[in-house]
Amino acid sequence: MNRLLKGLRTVLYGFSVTAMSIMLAITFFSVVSRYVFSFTFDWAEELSRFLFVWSVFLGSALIMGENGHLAVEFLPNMLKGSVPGLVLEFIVKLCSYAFMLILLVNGYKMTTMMMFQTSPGLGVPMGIVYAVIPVSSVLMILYTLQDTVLFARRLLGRGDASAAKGA
Amino acid sequence: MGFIFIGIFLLLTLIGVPVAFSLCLSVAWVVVTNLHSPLVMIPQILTTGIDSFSFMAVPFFMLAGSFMSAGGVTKRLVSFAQSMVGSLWGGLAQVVCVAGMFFAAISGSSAATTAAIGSTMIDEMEKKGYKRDFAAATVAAAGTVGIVIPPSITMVVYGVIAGVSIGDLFVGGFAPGILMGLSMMLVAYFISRKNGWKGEGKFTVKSVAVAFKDSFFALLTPVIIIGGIYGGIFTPTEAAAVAAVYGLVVGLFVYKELKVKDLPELIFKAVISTVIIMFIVGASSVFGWMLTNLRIPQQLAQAVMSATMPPALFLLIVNVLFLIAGTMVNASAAIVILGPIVLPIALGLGINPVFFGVLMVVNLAIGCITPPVGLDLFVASAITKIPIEQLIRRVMPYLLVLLVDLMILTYIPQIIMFLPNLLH
Repeated sequence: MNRLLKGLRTVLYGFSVTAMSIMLAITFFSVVSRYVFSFTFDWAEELSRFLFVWSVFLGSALIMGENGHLAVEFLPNMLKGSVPGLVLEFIVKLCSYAFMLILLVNGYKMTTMMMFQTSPGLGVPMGIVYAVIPVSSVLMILYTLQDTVLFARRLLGRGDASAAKGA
Repeated sequence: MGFIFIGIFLLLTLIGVPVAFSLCLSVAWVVVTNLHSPLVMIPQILTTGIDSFSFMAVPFFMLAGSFMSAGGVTKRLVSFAQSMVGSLWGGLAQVVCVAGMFFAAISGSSAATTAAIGSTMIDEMEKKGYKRDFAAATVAAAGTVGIVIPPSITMVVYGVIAGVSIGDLFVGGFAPGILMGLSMMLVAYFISRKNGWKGEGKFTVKSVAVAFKDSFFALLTPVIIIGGIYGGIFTPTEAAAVAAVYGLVVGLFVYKELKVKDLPELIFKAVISTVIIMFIVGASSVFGWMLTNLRIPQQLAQAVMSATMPPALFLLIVNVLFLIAGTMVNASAAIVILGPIVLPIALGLGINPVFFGVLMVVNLAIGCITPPVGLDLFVASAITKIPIEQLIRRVMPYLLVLLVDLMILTYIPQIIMFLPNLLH
């Protein structure tokens, strides 16, 4: 599991850096070509937008392995280490799974629905663009699973510790 | 229904569910329990919310800032500030305020500004006899102007969702940013005078000229961005891309401190910061779709109209609301979530959307250092290992003067609107 996630991080890292560089290059050179050659490619903007969408969705899986999505940490920090804190963490995890499953199921539905619609500039099926949603949902679930395993271990470890204290 | 919908969102967010997830989950709840529209709308609106050329300005402005600071621009801006105000009382604290304003003009975020100035200045100030907690508080406060002085990522986000000219918002941010910077310098002056923290060096026109020449290429960035947008040469997104490439060239070939091997990591960091903002932007458009479906903004607007609330009172309420929001989530997140709720009311009351946008950004900037949970306070506390309570005490004078600024800006709209009006 850890090795899988480590490999995954390398792939996502490579993708996001490359995609961002391409987006920057496309946008910059379309300004240059507009003024120097008075000429622009129709597909340039569309390609960079699609890369942007892909980067954001795949990145949203990637940041689960970094610092995570932006959350209001006030209450979790206050309750850290206590039993209510653990309950809270459990509820937050459940909510995260619920969100990712909604995204996975409906993202998949949308992908299949959109396979017949092609984009105006590049002429690719929109389904390919939307396919990033179920893909990144699966990756997000993977990261959360790893997190849950750690959480469960901590919970069990804590159980042992308090049992030992009781004895 | 509206209450339950917003209630679920607030509850989930406050217990620590990631903001983007709470936004979508509260919508999913309404869809499943009440409406018959399919859940497929959620990923669809999420995607269309992100899929916008205008939003690509967000990562590009981040890249511009990080290429420049890695390229050795920060150091030069600090020396330039040093040559201007270093000899005043509280010299280094003044330098922090001025360098913060300069850095804000090449970077679009408060956190980046705080980090860039903090990494170089806090130790330096301690070495010269300033209290470490005062140094940290000054850096945190000086960083707030990062999103007020253009370019500003928060203004890009507001401009896109509100359909307001990003160029107008940018120039509208100059005067408030400078007002905030100058009033923080005043605070630094009095505190330093009381503690006997003297400045050093002598002010000479020659040293200013030398330092200006050295940081000239960095200071050209805002000129390129604003000039390009207003000259009709490029769109804000293109301006951001040009600024990023410009930052790359300056870092690699002019100041030569940027290394090619560092680029992937810098780009990666920009992607990460972008994703955090953009995922919330996407989720907020899902949330906004449901708000409109339930007619919440319209009902609120009607309620405010029929109560004949004076615009001044409304602005005061909005100020408080955004200050609180700004302490909890980052500025861009707050603006995409709350913007669609309060903007229709503001428009109904005849408040100019450019003025309103800049004012909200100032609010959110101040929210970053507002106790107990201001985000910049935590950043500064994490870097310096100073307990948050101690930092809060030190940041208080800055906070108070910024709140006075906020009142001035709220009730004298000409300060914000003078430049945008002049350019039209």
